[in-house]
Amino acid sequence: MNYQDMDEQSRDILKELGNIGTGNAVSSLSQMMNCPFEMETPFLRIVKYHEVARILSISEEVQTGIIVEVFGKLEGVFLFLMNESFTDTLLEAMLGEPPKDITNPNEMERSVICELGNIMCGSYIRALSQLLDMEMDVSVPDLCIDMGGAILSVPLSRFLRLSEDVLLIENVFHLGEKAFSCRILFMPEMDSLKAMFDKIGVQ
Amino acid sequence: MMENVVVGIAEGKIARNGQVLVSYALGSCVGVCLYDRRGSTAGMVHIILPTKSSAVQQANPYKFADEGIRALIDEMVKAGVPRIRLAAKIAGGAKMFSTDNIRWEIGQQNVEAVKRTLAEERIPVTAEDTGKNYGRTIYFYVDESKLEVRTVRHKVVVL
Repeated sequence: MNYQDMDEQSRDILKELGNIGTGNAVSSLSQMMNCPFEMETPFLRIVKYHEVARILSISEEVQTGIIVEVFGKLEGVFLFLMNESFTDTLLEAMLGEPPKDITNPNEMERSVICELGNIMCGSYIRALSQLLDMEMDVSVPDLCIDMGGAILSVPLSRFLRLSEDVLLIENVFHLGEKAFSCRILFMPEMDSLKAMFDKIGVQ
Repeated sequence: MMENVVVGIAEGKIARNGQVLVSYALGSCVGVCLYDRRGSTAGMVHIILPTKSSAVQQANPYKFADEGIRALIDEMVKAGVPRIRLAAKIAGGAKMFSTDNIRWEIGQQNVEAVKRTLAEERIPVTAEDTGKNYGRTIYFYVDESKLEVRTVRHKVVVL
């Protein structure tokens, strides 16, 4: 199976799955922070690896990256990317004060961010798992605050061994103004995609 | 104003005096600069995987440390630099996440593969800023054979 050969129906299904997963993740976050978020229309991107950072236009921008590995019947990688203002707002909401230097978080800040990743990823995956009736599990989240492109190089190197293209199910959501944004990227393994489409009866 | 020559992921490029080779946001990737110790030509490759044999998808030599460096050597020789005058400066290969999962963090493997290949090709490494846990943007000034490393948290390093 090749990403490029996927038909319109399969693409729509993946986008919808991303929507449902993100919807669940965002409502968990919303409860935690006690404020509403706005979700954008999801993207399904199939891009050449060298274009990923450019397309997301975050190459040198500081981002908070939380990475979670998904394994079981569906395997892949989750990457949450929050920009600086989103991270600041989040930490202020949870801890009562904004971080002194987000590029150098203290122990408490790190653990709040990781816990958030844990909760969001858990809700996303639970939604997919129920919907598809496929068992999945997630790894302990890991955090990196650095240039967006440098963070992305880690999951990219995993997928590049197998393919020149990377499939991204991308959901963006905001807190109030556009400047406060967070993205959830889900990158399923090619074999898992096939298993998933078989399961829901798409050829 | 010097002209920037941007070297993207899995690209290799040559530049001349008056130009600056740039690779943005190296994470686990390594930027390898080859330069003429007496001259006015340099090249940079931005590799993302250690060896060609470690991948199923093997197109494009510049993805790999071993093949990429050899391809860049060929380009340098074609550009008129005698092989014996080549030297290297390298940067990148960070461990971005603290995970112990080896599948994730290939920064160190990338650095090792780069050094091994350069040793096999008998090209000396005159400077390096590798490993650690942060991303780097690198600038190689051809005129002075100078490598500048910029990061989010630390001071600019000049090698």
